[in-house]
Amino acid sequence: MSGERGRSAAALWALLAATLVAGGLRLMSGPGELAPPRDGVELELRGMRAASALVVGGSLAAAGAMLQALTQNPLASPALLGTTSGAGLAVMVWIFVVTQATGSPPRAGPPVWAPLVGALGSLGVVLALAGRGGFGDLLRLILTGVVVGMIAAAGSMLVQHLLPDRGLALGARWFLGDLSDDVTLGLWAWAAGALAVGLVVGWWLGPAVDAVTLDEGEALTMGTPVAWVRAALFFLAGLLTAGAVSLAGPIGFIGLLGPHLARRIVGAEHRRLILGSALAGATLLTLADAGVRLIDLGAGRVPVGVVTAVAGGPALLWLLRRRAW
Amino acid sequence: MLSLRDVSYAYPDGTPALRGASLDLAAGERAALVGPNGSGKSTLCRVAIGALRPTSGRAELGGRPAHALGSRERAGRVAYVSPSARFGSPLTARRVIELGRRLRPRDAAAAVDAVVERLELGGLLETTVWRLSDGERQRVSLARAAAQVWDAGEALLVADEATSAMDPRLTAATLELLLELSDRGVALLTAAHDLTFARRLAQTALVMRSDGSPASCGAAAEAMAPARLREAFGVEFVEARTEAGLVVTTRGAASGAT
Repeated sequence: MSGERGRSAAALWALLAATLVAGGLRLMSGPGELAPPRDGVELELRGMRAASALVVGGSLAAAGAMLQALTQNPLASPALLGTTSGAGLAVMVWIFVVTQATGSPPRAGPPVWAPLVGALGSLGVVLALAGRGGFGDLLRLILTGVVVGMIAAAGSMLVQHLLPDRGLALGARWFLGDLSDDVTLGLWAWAAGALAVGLVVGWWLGPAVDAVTLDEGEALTMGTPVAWVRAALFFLAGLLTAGAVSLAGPIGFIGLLGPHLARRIVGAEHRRLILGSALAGATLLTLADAGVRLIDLGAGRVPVGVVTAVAGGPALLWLLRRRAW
Repeated sequence: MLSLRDVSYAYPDGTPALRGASLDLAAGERAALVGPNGSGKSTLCRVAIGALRPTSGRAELGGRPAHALGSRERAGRVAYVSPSARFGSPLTARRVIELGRRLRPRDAAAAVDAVVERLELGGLLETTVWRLSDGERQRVSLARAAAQVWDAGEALLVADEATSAMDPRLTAATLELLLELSDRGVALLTAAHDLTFARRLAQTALVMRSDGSPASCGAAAEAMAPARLREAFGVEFVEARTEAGLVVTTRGAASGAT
């Protein structure tokens, strides 16, 4: 047993090293070239983007691991359950209301509560609709999530259309998800704080989370307050998704791929899996963003959400085909 | 240890699942729960562990209402094997078994080793439960519950169809393990369709009818007599003492019968 745990701990350290390397690579990534930042301004710009990518990727993947445990469904993720789109819609509605009230679009990022309300609201709707009689039906949960996500995404487009300039200034951020250069330190700090809370509580709850992935009666007799643990997973997954979406919009696939990658590296025990997922997700998104910066398509910078979807979609199909979970 | 008094349960939509079942189990006592599909056996098991609150009647564990026990208290008094053996996450078999001792880590390794040896799980411990066969998963679930009550003193183990997918050799190993637990003071409530297994294990039996009401309850030899089983299942039964022990089976019109 100690050997197994030891290997798992070493794997976590290796993941952390990979995350740091990815962060370093992002700092070295300029437009079409790999070079250190030329001045303080460039360093600050790249640093903020790297910090955003780490927090967004980490949050989405940790939320994915929690949702997979909550629903006992290996395909659950903030994007496939519509949680990211729900949070995105709430942000769009907030932008619309502010624009109507003040006559101009908001300059600062969204307030904390908007994506949180959207994330918890959409997640609550999906679980209520699909969870009657348990989450045993894998397909029904995912289909419900996909439909709710599509409705929320369509809602976002509708709101965008109603904005004065048809929301062109908003770009792709609130639809496909993109890391933006104008993230303020305050906005980043709330998302990073949410991630920290999620990881600490996730570590503390880990063994109880292991138990609730068994039959409910079995978990109960093992001394697990099943309802509380599920409520905690629900709330934390919503909080982490909200933090990620307020920084970068509804970026897809990281929340699914992060946990699957981490499970192969650190195993399935949730204490390590939640932490490992966060590191894997942070690494994946940071590498994707470095790639976006380095590979110049001559058409401006591609939103990183496009890259995660283009790379992540086939990876999901591969998982489905191999049932490799 | 367990006291069920006139327990009834109806689903939230009003459909009755269990009508007026009573059963008392002392420390070390072994009871079988027998009846047709849909006769309320699983519901009774879930009432006994406190996962369901009876709509009427009383269900007590160690003198306290089963559904009202605190987490830690419940973990010390009752272990449960569900009929589904479903795992929502690809934990290793070892991790699942160790989860039984999550709240009582003291002497956990000895308890885990003991049940793993008896259920011949040694070679499967590092395997992901998702890669196990149904019978292997049942053994992992049973090992988890057995490790939980192994040295708990007076406790209850509720096993709902714990052997339905096991091969004969492992069913026999399970019977041995359950008898050993009973010697250690653990009360057993076992729902089973394998009537020979049930008779060999149990001193007491509760036989259910398909409408969820009790057909008979008492010493296993009387409560599971062929006439009583016929009343519950609607088919003829025979009970035979063979050199291998007691055998209970339906009177077959199957081909090859003479």
